[in-house]
Amino acid sequence: MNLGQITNHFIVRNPLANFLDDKPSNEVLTDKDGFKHLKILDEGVYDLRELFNADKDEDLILTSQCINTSCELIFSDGRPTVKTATHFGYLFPDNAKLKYSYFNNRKIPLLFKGHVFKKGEYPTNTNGIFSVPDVYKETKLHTITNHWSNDNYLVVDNNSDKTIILLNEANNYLNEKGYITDYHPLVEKIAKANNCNVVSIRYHINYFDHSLGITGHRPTTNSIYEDADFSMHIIKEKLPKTKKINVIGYCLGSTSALSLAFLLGADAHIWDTFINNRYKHNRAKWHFMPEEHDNINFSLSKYYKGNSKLHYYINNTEDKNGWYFGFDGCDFVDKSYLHIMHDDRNKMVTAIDNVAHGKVKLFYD
Amino acid sequence: MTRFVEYNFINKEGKGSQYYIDDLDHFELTFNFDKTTNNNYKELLIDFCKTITNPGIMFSGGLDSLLVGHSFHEAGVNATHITYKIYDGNVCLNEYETEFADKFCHNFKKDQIIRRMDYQELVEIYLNTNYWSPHPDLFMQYHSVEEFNKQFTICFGLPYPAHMKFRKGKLCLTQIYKGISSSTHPSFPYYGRFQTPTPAIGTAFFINDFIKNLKDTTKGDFDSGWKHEYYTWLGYDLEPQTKIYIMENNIVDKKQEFMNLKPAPTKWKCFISIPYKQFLNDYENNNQITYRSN
Repeated sequence: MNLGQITNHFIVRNPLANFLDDKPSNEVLTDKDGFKHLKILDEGVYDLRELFNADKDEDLILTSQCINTSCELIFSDGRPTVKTATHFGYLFPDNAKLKYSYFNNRKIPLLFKGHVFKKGEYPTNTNGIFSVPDVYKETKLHTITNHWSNDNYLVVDNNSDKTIILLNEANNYLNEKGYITDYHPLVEKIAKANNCNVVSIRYHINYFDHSLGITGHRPTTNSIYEDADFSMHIIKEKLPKTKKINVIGYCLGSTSALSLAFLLGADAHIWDTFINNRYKHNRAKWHFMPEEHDNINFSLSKYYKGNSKLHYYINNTEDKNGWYFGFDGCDFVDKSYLHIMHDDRNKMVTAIDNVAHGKVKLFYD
Repeated sequence: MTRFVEYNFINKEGKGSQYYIDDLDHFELTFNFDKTTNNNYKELLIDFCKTITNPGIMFSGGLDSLLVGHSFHEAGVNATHITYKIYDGNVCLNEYETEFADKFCHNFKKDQIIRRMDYQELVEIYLNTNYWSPHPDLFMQYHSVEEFNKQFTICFGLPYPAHMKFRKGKLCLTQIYKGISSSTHPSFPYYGRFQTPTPAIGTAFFINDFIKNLKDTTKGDFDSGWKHEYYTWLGYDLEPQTKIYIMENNIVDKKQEFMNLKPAPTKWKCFISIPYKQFLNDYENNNQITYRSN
């Protein structure tokens, strides 16, 4: 078996969503390669080791389709219940069960691919791939910067007439840093490298729901339309010199960034990938419960007003099938710039580094 | 760096300009025959590439842009390769050439910007400028400079003079001119045909021993008849390809349709035509010579 078939999130996440797309929930199903899959939609406590038939001398390794806020670990050895967010290649604890429930009135479907190994028969902790799930404990919300911020927005005022709106969604805030409400990675570097202001938007740890922009950024906003209104409000109030706006996002934030740019009539700069129609891409679709699917079946062109330019940056080392899908059927790509770059560094670091370190300039006037 | 060719645009009052002028009467081309570098053009171009900072190659995928791409590659200078893909609906009108561009960038791991544009967008942009062009390919080149000149040092791989061909024993050096106040357009000073470094040495393409020893003058147009042979002679290993213009060859009527979008200037096409034997004689016996157009 190729270990990447179970641990490499970028390889595993789409196929597992495709496999489980039309399958019923609560049934462990085996694919043609012998890997087991499980879809969880109902609240409850799940003994995953039992469901995946892991004996005492065996370990269970799991990868899910996305980070999931609906999960907690309940331990039978007296340890307290903890939230968990890790979503790829993790070693499920021997003495734990999975609690799946609502999180701020939303549930995110949990789609798993799993494999059982004899203990000691797999490489441990290789590049952090095999590890116990990341867990975090609730702490008091607090701030650490002098920039204006609220629960979701932060403003870096660089006294410029150019402003970047950064969808900083790709970071995982389901950890201790999530409780720092003005923790917006790299905003100051981005402002400095581009000599511009930045309005950074992120999910709040208590409202993290992976909706690709649909539900806005709670508690400040509840939809992408409200994000558009609030962004312009905050720019008018805090950054009145602004004449030119670019909206940027990467990975998870790219779809939201594109939507927001279209609504604002601004140019969009996005990295890695984007989802044009959340319903037609299975992994994106399964960020939403089945009863929500009808409401996500539309193209981002719904927001397009015809005056935004799309700049799409990809790393040529990626499998082209991974990004071409983003263009299929998009009626807004006729004004697009596909930037193919070559960088061997980690994809996620590469994406934002290009702006933060000035390799990609976003303003030329 | 020697400028192998210099332009002089002369108006009806006999006043000359380095740049195109609206009341053009005729133009002159002055060739500087640098005999010391004649057969060393590839090395010359590679050395020149090393002097260009932040180059952006207008990379259609045709032989000229590939030559420039290879030159920057061999010079070890990172360049961004800018490829326009023009669509008519879902049909890519320049798919043939751009496949060569994509292949080069993929094989040599070059940064590339693919500008996707619908043909109608090109038309709309054209209608909102005071620039006149006889066909959409030329306007696209013009617009590409407007779009990218602030980001990059724009480099075109254009052999100069453009549209060379043998015709009835004469070497025709034709130049299609633009019109309608183009010289006042803010982007015009950056327009690659005249201003960017790479084509400034472009006439070395043919004023060397290759042209001198060319036996077969029946091959006609340089673009489609003898360009690949010449670039190979220079030392470049380029895959042969058929010359295909972007729009007019793919959609019948597009060229005429484009021509009708704006009224043409009264004089938009001047040319210089020299008997081939005379040209060779001039080359052998002069270090510099100026020809006048009609």
